[in-house]
Amino acid sequence: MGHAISADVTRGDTDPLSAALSIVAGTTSLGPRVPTDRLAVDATEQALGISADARPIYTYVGDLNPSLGTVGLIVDRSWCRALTGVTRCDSGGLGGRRGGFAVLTESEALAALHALSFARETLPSWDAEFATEIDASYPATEEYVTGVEPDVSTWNDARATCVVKAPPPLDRRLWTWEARLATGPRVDEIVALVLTPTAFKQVAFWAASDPAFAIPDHVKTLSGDVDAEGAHFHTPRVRAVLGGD
Amino acid sequence: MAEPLGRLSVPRRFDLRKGKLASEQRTVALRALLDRPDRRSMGLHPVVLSLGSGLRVSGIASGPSYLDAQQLERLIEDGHAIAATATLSADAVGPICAAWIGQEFALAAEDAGAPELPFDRYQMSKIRGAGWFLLDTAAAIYGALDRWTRQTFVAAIDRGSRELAMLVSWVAPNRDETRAALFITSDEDQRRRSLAWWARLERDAGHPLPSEDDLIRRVDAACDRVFLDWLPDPSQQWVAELHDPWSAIAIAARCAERLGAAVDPMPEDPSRSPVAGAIRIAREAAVRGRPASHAEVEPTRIALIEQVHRRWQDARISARLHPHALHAVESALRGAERATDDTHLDQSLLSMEHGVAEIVYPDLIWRAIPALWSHFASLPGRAIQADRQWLMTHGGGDGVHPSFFDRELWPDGAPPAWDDHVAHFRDRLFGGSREATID
Repeated sequence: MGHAISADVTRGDTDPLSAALSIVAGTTSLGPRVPTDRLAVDATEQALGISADARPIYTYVGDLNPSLGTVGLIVDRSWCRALTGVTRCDSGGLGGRRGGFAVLTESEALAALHALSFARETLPSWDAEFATEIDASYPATEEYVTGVEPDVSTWNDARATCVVKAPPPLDRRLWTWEARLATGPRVDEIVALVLTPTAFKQVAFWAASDPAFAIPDHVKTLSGDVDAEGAHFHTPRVRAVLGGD
Repeated sequence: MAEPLGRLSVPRRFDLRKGKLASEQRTVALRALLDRPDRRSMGLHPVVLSLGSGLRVSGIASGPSYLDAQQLERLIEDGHAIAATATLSADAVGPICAAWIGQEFALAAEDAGAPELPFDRYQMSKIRGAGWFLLDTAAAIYGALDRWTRQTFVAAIDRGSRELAMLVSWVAPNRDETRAALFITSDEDQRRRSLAWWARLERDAGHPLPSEDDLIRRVDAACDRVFLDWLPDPSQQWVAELHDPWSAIAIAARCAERLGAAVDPMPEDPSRSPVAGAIRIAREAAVRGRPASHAEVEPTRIALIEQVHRRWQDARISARLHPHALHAVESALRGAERATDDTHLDQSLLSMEHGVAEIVYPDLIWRAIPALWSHFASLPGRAIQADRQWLMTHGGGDGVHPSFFDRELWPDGAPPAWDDHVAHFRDRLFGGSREATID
């Protein structure tokens, strides 16, 4: 599971990298953040029966979103011990009819939100359903991780309608699975720290100049790079680790 | 929805720096720099552009190419991007990126005497308190950064400048050249930590865990790619090509002169300095065409042992028995005494070949980095070749003409920052610093 880190000034974070390093070191733990589209997320959470004072941590299965963030964490699936809900797409986007979900009516979106979500008694079956959908919709799991548009010919839900009817370009949040968790991951569940080129420069500086600087050995440090084609944020290695490598 | 940049049709030109549009129609404007630039760095950054109400990401080789206004706002709020404004030239073609120079980076580059930065800040847009940027294609920006990185790599190594190596790291931390510059200009503790860190990064990247030797071979390969030192090293074959022993002793004296200051216990008093004394004895033997007497040589030889050789043992800069610079001085002295039996020129050449590298990196020279040592042997090699050419033309007979010694010691210029390197080496030898022996 992937989670892009944001600085939370209420916790004293100065920047996303410092926040990520303190989580990786176990000094602080990952917590829920204020949503970007608060209106849509509040309405969606209400529809899903999520209490306003128990906002979950949102993450994506096999994706780091927002993809344009500078620092992300990849977390082992054992974090699912804290799972409270799963949706087969971005729940806030669907509930708020944002982006490609706008082709749905309000009632269609609300119905789809319930139909596409796993909670309480249906929650234990989410991973089997996820595996079945990936097998049926992609030639290989890697394509899901890469964000390739799925083959929706066998889908009978509102997402298929959105994929077909929404104007291009399609946002992968139409089909990328979302997981909601009650608590942050334990340090030993963090698999990798994913850094953009500039975030990695800072880490490289600390590694070269501060003998006390350390990232736990089990946490892979994966960095982006630049070349004549531009910047690479999520390299093939990041996608491989997101895919379980 | 924004159109691809390549298909843009902006009617008229405008002044990019002043941001004044000649036309308000269909202009592409910069909204933000992604991968939030750091004040301490220089680099290439993807950008967010707008065309009308649509936003488009440009400069990410693989990844999303669009985002909405709310996402952009969140990226800026969360510290992942920095808002910036500029308008693209009408003839711009994508993919467009931003070249970035951080404010602290520019100051550090100036302080360290780095090569001229690859972008002119006066032609760039400023973000107050942070740095400067300009828009161009990824290929153009990367090409400029790549050239500067290699130039600064060379400067860092030639000058032994850790500051320059760190600057390179703020541009391209993952490159082998950067690792090589950091490794070479570090102390041993830093080197050990760096090797462990790079091995770990390789492992994390999914490659087999490299050994220290593997990583040092990559340091050597980086040096080999960048340095173009193809001149052959000083060769013993040259001994045979010189016509007489006095020419050989003259060359040995010059080798001692080039390196001697690094091991001279009293450079301010040549009349008492055993280093100056040894060089003087070798010069006089070469000029008069007659060996120095044992009685003349022996006090100087003993003084060198007592004042330099023992000091080297105490200073523990390296595990070597004595430094190449001292070896060069002693070889000239022995050559002056033995002359026709053994000019010791081969020993002088050997010392000269390694002496410059040892003076610059005394605690690194035991490492297997042949391309680096070859680089440091090239200037001495050219200097000796110039001496040899002069002697082949003017030498022979009963002695070397005194004007031989009036010529420039380093006809192609001394090694970069040579006086500083010599002074630093001398300080370590005679200044009382105690450092761990390198085994």
